[in-house]
Amino acid sequence: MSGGLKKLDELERENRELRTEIAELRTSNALMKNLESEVNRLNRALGFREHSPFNLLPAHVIARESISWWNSCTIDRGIANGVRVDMAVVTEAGLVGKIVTVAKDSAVVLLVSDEGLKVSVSIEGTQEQGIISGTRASSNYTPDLRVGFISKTAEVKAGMQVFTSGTGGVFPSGVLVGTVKAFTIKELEGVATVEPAVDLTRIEDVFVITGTR
Amino acid sequence: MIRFAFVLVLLIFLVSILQLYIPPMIWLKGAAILLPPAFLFYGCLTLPFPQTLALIFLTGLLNDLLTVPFAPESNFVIGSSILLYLIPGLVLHGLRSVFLQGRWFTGLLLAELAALLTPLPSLGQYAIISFERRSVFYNDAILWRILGPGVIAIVLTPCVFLILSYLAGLVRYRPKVERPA
Repeated sequence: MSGGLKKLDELERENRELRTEIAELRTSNALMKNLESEVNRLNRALGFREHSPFNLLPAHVIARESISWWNSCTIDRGIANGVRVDMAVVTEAGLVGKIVTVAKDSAVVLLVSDEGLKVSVSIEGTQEQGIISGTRASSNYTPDLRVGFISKTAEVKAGMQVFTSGTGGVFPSGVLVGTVKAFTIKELEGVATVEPAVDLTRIEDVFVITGTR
Repeated sequence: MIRFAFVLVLLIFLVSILQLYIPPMIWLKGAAILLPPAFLFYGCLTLPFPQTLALIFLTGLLNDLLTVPFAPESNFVIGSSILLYLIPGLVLHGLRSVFLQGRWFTGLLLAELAALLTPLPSLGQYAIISFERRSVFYNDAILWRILGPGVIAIVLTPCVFLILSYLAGLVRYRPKVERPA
């Protein structure tokens, strides 16, 4: 009987220990998952850098503007790293924006979601070109973009991809900007609503295009 | 007086930096907490005219240097916010003699008036951008971007005024209305 009771105590202790162990394993599992996604993200970025036709300078987003009318962020690369005004900023997913101000070790990027940033784009599978821009203010960090100046007769459908056309010389051609969500015909032009390719809420690592290979 | 003006300058500089790290209020459609106006408006209500002007200049310039991208795409000239802060600042400075009477009720009332004037610079910025871009674009987010800081300031400004009046006491600043000779 006493042996049985002792065993019950042992079982309780063992149960407590196992519960603690499970909690520890769960924590380390969560950490491993975080690490795995971090490694995957860095692998994707590395692959993109290696296979990209552009010379890419990796940068890290260090600040994000949230109190003004302008959508911008600050990266940790500047004049000292060869960053210049008007250079395009991308991730492996697509276009982020362009450099508007450069300091010695940092630079401000005007995001593609800003109303003031106009980018010449072309729509996949069509000859259509237009100008894409963001919105003045949105409660969402990644608001839909708007492509204007498209022909009214254009056959633009939801799901088509939108790429930079290279016209204007600031942005190189062929960088993915987003995917068409809707196409509406206005009085003078066709207007496409585009979902940005890059989730601007979560940008951490970006690349500055410093030239072509 | 000079010592308190310097304290205000230092505080405005610090809170201008601090507010860059405060995330927008998601439940107010992304409205921001604007700290520097509350400190500026207290200065407008307590400091003499020249110091008030200097404080408005500093706050407006600092605001633009920290938040407006230096690019033609911003459609906003750096320094324009000085003029945008000048209007509410001078309105409040005009009520300085009422504030300096020291009654808690008028103090609270003027703090709330200051809170209601907080959205004016944002509204002015929006008007300038709309004029420059030749498009008056409107949505809920814009409304909240302008009015939201005012709503937050209704709670925030009296607290800031209370802290600053305590600080004024600490640096032995007892403002008085100058009587004409």
